[in-house]
Amino acid sequence: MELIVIASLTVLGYFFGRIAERKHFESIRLREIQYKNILVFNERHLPPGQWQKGPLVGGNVVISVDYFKRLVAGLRALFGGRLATYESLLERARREAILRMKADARSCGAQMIINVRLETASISKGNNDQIGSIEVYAYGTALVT
Amino acid sequence: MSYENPQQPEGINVSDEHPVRDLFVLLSAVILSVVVLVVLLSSIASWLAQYVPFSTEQRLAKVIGIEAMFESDPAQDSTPEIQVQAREAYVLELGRQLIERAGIDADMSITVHYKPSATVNAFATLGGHVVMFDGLISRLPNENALAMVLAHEIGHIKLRHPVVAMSRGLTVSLALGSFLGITDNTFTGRIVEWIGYSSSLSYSRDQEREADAFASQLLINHYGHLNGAEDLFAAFQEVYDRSSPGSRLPSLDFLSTHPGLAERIDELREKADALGASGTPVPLPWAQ
Repeated sequence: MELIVIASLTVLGYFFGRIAERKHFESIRLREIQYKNILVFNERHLPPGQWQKGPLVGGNVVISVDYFKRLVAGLRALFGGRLATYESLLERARREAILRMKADARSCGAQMIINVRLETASISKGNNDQIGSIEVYAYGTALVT
Repeated sequence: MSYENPQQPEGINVSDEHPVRDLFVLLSAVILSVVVLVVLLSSIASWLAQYVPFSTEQRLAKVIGIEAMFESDPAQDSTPEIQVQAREAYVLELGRQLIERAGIDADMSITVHYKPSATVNAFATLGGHVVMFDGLISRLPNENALAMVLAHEIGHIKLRHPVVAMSRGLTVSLALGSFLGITDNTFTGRIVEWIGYSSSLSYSRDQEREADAFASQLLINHYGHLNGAEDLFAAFQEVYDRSSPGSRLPSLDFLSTHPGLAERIDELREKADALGASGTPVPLPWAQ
């Protein structure tokens, strides 16, 4: 009985997770082109130029892990190796967080963000230390002329 | 120097390996390793169990309090008192004759218990106890079928099945339990537990086959033929049919502790054919 529940959750997780992931990647690629003119750098020092303002901008995203990904990850943990199902999850979260930070910067009228940092956290409280969902926060200093 | 933001090509951070393929590779690897582990541990455990002296097994049975399992319980007992005494004496006497015929080791002792409850069952357990329920006895049409049950359970004890099964069971559940303890993923734990449990079931079916083979040999020695023994399985089939009327579902042999009834009947018939001898089953005093 329990196995049937696990199996159906896994199948559901797989199909809905796949659809959500594909749509998300399509949307990410599209918006990355739209925000291409806002440049992001890791550089700590101000580039030469006349900068009027330097507000802090940030973008935050939380994505839930589906049962399929969790199952594969759990099995992978026994043998080791690349965790492909979580790689795509984190890739989505990072790119989405950067895009949201860029959206924030655009609303400030900035063309460039420097000193960009990314923070990743897993939200697992009260869930047996399993990764329930991941949070990625991207932040940096926007430069406004 | 010029700073720029080039578009990163896709597929650098994400591997294009199909996740379902990944799952199946991992799952097969887990199944294979758990099955190998369970088989290995079970063989070691049952090999060691045969060296447990029978007296130790009896002491263990006492510590566990196994006798409480077949003490008479008036609330559950459904057979009239007069009938109880007659049947109990009959079953115990038949048991005594069969145990004598089976030629058990000097340090071993088998105790047959009669339980006047409606449960359709009989079992052998630690400490050489054989428990016969009235629910099964009352369904048997002749003494030979009753002897088949008794001989089957005596076979379990003579072949040390209860202690071997306990040894295996404890070892496997300890191993699976420790795995559940160290894994931080409950899904993986459940799956490993299930695989381990399913692969250890075949051992109990092997034991049933051995006990059946022992029982039919004992019946040949006692009665000189196997007629009537098959009626035991017919009685089980009847109970099975009644509990799920109309269902012709094939019993899932893989998921069951006992081999299928059809398989057990076939084996008995084969043996009877090879023997060639036949006779009339002994009637039971209470059966019409």
